[in-house]
Amino acid sequence: MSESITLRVTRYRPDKDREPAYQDYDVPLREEWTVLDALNYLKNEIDTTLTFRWSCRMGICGSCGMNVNGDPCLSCATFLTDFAPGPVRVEPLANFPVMRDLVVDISDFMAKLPRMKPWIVRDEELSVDEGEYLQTPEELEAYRQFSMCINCMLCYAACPVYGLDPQFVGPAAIALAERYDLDSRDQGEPQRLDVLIEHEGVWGCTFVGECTRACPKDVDPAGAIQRYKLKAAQETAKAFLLPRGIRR
Amino acid sequence: MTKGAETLQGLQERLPKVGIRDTSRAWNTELVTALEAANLLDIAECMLASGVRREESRGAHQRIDFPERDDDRFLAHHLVHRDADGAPRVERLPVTITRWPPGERVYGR
Repeated sequence: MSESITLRVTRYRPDKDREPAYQDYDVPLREEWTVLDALNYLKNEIDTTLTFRWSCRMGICGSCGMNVNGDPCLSCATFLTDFAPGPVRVEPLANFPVMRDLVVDISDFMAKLPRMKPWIVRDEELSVDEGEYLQTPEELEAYRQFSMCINCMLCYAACPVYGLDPQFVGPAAIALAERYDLDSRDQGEPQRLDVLIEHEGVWGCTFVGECTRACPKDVDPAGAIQRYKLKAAQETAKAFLLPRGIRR
Repeated sequence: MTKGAETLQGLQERLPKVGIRDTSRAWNTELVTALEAANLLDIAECMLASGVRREESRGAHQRIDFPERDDDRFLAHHLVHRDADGAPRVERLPVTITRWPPGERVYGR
């Protein structure tokens, strides 16, 4: 008789259930299995009606974010044995509306993202004939870590400020703004600052730091937000002290 | 490939018996998977029908009975249609060569 572990999984079908409820499933406790492996076993062998998002199984796609025992994590990068003897609570990411079972609606983030202009902004674009925007390895290193974000939404699920105030732009979006600000090819910093200097921009953050703790790619969104607060404060001071023409 | 075609035929015959337990209209991944299975079998049939006729090796299509590439006979797209009796029918479409003429793909040589 091999060992097993109980998964306590949130079930919710919007067209059939009044509210979410837990359902318990016993799955084999295998040393090499992640929580995602256990969910796939569950769907294939026990209950085909369970719905969850996943794709790459290797921490790159950012699809399989869930709250496991209350902590937001990538279920493909979280081992089942860490929770033995169980039970393990598997719930949808906190702070988002639930669409079905473990699937959350991230349209709020998708709407906020383009406001950060997460692409290379130029005052004047070079033509294709003029070639590429070149960059040294040092210039790449300046923003590389902030570019590792996989939009898995764990930082939003971890952020108590976002939980209380959905207007808050949130960690990943601000980290992404910083990623482009730090890019030597980019000139969009003033435009991004205009958005982030607003009340619901960087000032929403109370520096809890849970976003950085939750991040599976070590992006450090909390660090990005602090850097941005400094920029925003400097900009505000300049606005008081300098005539409009020579700011920035 | 003949053996593969037989297996595929068996799977196609089993497909209509596939049942689905999930009756929800929201995020029904079981239904999506079943629909995808039907499409995957059709695509597999296209690949097999086309691969059997392509008596050469090219790119990801590698045959031990025809290890060489044969531009004279097979520098062409294969288009697979379904005939009225359900069998795949393979047609050829000539390749339009643009900037890069096709050449042999060599690795480490």
